[in-house]
Amino acid sequence: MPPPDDEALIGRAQLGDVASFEELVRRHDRSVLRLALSLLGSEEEARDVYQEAFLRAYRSLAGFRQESTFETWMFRIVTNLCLDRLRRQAGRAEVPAGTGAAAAEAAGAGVAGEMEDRLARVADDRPDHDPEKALLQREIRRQIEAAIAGLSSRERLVFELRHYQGLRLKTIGEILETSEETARNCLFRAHRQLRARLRDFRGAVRDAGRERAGPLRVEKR
Amino acid sequence: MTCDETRSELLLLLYGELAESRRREADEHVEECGACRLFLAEERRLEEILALRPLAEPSGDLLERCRGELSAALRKVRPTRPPLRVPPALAATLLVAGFLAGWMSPWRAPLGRVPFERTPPGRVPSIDPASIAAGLRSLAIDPGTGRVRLTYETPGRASLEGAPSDPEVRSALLETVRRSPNAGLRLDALEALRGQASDGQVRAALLEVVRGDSNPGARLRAIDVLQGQAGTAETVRNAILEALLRDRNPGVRVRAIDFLASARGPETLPVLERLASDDASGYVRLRSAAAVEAAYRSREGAR
Repeated sequence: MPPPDDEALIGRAQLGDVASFEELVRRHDRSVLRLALSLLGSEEEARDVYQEAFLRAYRSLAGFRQESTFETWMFRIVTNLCLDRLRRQAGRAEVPAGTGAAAAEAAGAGVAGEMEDRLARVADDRPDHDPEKALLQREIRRQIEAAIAGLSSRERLVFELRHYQGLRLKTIGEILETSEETARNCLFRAHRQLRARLRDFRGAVRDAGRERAGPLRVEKR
Repeated sequence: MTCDETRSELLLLLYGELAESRRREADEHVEECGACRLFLAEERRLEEILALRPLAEPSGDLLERCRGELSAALRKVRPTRPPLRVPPALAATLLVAGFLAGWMSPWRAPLGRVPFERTPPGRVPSIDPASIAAGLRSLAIDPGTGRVRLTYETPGRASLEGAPSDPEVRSALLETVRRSPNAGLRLDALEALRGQASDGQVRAALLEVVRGDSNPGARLRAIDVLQGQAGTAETVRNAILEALLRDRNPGVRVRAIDFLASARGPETLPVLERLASDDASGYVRLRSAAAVEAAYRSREGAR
């Protein structure tokens, strides 16, 4: 017998069947956790968001009308939770007067710092470890994190969802409850800022070497 | 195509979201425009830089830890329940009591079309129901009075207000139920028609939803709205029976079982017995078996 589809599981979960809800969680939680991890850069925070998002979904499941897929609905909940946290982080960071790379770097310092620790461990574990190359890679990654963290929360969300999670702009529009056109404009602005902030590293990329295929993913759905 | 337009499209091209026809136009523009060629080259270099950022892939350990914590938390949370269902007799009593209380209230609104609070009383434009349904933007039900406000686009924005029993409001609600592409509005319109199922037109529309609406939530809501007085009609029972046998959604099938078990039509028991042994869904089998058992107990009690 084929496994029940999401629609059937939602129907059962709406009648109070916890096991069906847990099956839905198992089907979609990796992408939910990946998104939270990517946006927040901290395993601890991603764990909190994971739990809060699924509990929130469980509590409001009776009102879920299946106008979007369960995964899109979950992404909407997760992005809202992450947005709240990113805004709180930005509020806590002491941003110096003025704008530009320095301010952006300061605003994203918390997230970038935690991500930096994780990235440092990744680089050190490699068998063909070259300290000089590793140092350059770390510096570039630090700058990438700072540049991404310097985007507005909304631009950052759209960029992460399109560039690293591979979602279509139409789906991103649904998640953020806005139009595809607005999502596209947001992505365009994000790219313009990233190009400007990472301009100095254009030549350094070849020296640092690429660790893996670029995540510029062509359509997931 | 201008340079600004082309650059926006080039970004879509890099993400694989540009339609083939637009792609050709963008290619032609880039061929002739040095500035846009430079833009494309810069975007490709940016892509190379961004590729140095590792993807945040959660480890298996982290995922298992999250699942374990969530599973424990779920057991402490009150599970979601479908909306409270009131037995038909109690529902009828409440309806009569509500009506009498409203009638005797010193704040009773005058008969006829009464607007919501803060809306100045006045004319309601006469417009055909299909146009209202086509332009419908929102539908609000006043929880105190049960009155409905439909806000829709004509060339401008307008609204129609009144009780669901008002012929004009009812026609607009029926059109929305039948034709609105927005499942949320269909659900709201179904909710507004709750208590109107004894009307032949409303009942026919509800049965159409049960048989053919693409949204399981709408099918489920229509069964709910039909429950009560309308449930005793044979045509209604047959439609619900059909849903029970054909609907792909187990939630809808389970709601159909509850409906038929309370309607107690003579044709129901054999079907439920069959489902109790044959249905693909374990939950449907369980609920059918429980309904069959309840029916036999009730028969024995009657003897």
